[in-house]
Amino acid sequence: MRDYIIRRILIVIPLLLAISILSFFIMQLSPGSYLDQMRMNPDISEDLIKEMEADFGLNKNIFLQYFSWLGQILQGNLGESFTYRIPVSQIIISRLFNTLILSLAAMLISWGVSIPIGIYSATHRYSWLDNIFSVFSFIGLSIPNFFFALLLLFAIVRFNLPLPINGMTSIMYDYLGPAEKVIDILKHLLVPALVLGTAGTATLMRQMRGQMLDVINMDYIRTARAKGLTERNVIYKHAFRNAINPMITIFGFQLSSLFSGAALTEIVTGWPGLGKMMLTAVRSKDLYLAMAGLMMGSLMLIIGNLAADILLALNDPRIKYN
Amino acid sequence: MNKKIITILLLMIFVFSLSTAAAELKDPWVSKKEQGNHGGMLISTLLGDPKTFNTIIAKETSSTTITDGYIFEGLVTRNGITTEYEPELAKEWEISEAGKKYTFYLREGVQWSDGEEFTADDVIFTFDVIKDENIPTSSRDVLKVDGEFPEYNKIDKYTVEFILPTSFAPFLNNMTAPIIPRHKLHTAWQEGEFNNKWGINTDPAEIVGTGPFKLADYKNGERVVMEKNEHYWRKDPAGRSLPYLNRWIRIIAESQETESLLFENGETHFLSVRGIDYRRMKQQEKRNNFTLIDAGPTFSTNFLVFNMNPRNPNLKDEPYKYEWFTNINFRKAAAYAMDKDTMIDQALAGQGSKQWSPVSLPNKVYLNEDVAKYPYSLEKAREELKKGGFSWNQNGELIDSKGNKVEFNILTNAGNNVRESLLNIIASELRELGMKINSNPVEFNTMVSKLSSEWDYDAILIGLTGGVEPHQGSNVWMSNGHLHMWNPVQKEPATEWEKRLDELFINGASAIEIENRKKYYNEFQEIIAEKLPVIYTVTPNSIYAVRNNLKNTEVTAYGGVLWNIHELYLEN
Repeated sequence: MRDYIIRRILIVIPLLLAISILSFFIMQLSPGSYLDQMRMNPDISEDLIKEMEADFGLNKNIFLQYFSWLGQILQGNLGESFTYRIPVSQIIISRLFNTLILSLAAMLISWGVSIPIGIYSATHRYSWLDNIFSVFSFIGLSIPNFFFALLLLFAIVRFNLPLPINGMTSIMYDYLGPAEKVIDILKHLLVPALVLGTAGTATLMRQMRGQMLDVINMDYIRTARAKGLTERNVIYKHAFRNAINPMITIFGFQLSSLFSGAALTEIVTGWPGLGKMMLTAVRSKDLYLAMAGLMMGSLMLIIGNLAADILLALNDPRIKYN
Repeated sequence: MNKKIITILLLMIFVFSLSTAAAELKDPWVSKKEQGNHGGMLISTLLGDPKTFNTIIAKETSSTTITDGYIFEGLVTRNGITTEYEPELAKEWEISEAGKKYTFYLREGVQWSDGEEFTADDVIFTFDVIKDENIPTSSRDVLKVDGEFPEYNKIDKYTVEFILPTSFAPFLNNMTAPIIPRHKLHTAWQEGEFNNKWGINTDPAEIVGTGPFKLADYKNGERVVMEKNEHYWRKDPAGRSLPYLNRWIRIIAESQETESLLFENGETHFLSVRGIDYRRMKQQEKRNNFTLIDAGPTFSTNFLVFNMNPRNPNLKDEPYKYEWFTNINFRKAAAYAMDKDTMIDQALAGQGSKQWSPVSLPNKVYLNEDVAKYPYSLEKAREELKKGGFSWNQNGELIDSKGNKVEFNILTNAGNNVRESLLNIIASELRELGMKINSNPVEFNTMVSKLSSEWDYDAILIGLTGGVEPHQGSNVWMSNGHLHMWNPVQKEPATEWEKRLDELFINGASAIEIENRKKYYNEFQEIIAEKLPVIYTVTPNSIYAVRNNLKNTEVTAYGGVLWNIHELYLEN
């Protein structure tokens, strides 16, 4: 097991390198550069754009640009943002925590809701409650996040609910006591976390239900029942532990979204997370900021996968890595 | 012994009181509006985060809407209603030596928000920074006259002069540039650190200006909090320092939907209303205690431009396209096919105006209403096409004199809803004329590189934001400009009328009297409307919803709600 983990971590290095090469060159090869927005401004002259091009190093050979970026990264320097003219790390840190809160809350909601419902639906297949859950999950699957968020916000305004519409803290936040501060953030968190959480719930619920159904019809479940185990024991000790394996893999993938944020939901609910900023960075080609975001996402994906594999081995003694 | 201490103390008190008394305001400006209540908190929204608080290097309006006019001020400003020049940090100015010499007399005793006095040294410092080639600022090129940066001198503590190589009327417009404090930034500039100064991670107390507000707090992605500048030089009728408002919170809303919801929920004091929200807001007006104000058309424009560049790389395969687009009858036909009423109804939800001249509609000083207009008529469009040598085959498809079917692409930037629906309307009208149109929204960056460097497009629907000073458009209208979109960066003007445009812009800039300048810019507008290198469509109107308890407002398209923020107050 230990050897396996070490091997996996060693593979991360060439993998990240390959990802960085791909993202850097794809971004550079797509048409346009950061300076295009300025080209359309009648006040900005061609000379100034040339100066800035040289200043940002955008006039250099693309390979040279890549290697100087790589050199910086190896020294722990993520570079400087074109837009903000301050180090990329400072910009990311200022929003990292916000994104983490939102992603964790959303994950908590989606897993906390979908696993029990999935199990219930599988064990009570075609009961009226199962049908209702199915209908809801199909609605959940088909409704776009941003639209659901807008609907919730509209409801808040329409029915005068005492909930905030925008942002992460209220205007008076700085004057609140510590407990009130937490409550204030939780209130703001409700809508975006609900939107993101329910979006995940629908898929997870269907997955869980399907997996459970597969397992429940297995011979060993019948054996367990025949042995006279309680239904509770059959479901949670035997069926659930076998059905959960694919869910652990999904969980690993989801870990990567912890830091990548959810741009559209963030935009609509005004949550100050990384998603919207990274989207703007990629679209405006703020090269080093976008690269930092992409690399962070990739790193989390790799770590998440590794974590999932380890969890799988812990959950299922049949799985061994050699 | 005791006596000694007392004398020293007394001396200290004396020196201290001297230093505070040094900056007594000699030339206050007194509000002519009704006296308001001091105090209160104004809440409004912003659509994006600032990128920097360093206004000299700021290039995005998301940054300058926070700094310019509120934290920093210029020597002169423009009146929010008439758009005419008004004194700001300079109490008056003189233009002498046939328009070559500008002398500015500064207001004496104006203080920066940290209490330091504002003097001619700050003005000189600001222009030293702008002139520095290492500072990436757009102000430098704008200030250059005939490629030369004007000479500027300090005459005394409260007087500065600028000497230009030739007479150049747009110069005064550039004097609206914000002045920055020497005492805060001089060392950083000397050390070559200026470009990294005053980024978004700066301690707000470090950012010092002369404007009515100072920065109190910035929470990334959430809000910008401004506080009253206690040292501000504008006074209320009772002689107290303005602004009336104590705090001003600007919530960063990221989307226009959220902005409207915040306003409807009673959390903000005013809102810029989109056309599609107009009817919904109108219904709530009475119930929710606000007033909708139609401030007329905005400065933004939307126009169609055909590629008339002989250097278009696609011309090798399809040389006939150059023939079509340079054919004036073809462009006139396109102009007649612009169904502007439908555009206003469908794309702007009824809240818009038709544009015919290249000068933006709210530009009261320079707009020439008397230019050629092309009211919607497919009949006239067909006549123009016939005159231009086009005809129709049996299937009703338009063909040129050599028998080529007229088919081309129109691009616009994806994500701009108004422009996408304008494009649909234009394409369907042109199809009525028998053309085959491929309408194609593309990523903004792609469109810009096609427009500015690759030149391989057919037609583009795009917009530029106009200003009050027509010379600001010289990059667009002069034949060597890089934004001369239909045929950019020409060595020699390709046509007679483009040559005339160059002359008009040169003359317009060197004439001093507004009446003389108007003559040149009137002719320029007539030429553009006659020759149609760009075909204008419609402009959205700026509509504001303002809460009834916000007083002293005078809302205009140019200045919005906030142009006289120092005079706004909240009724209890």
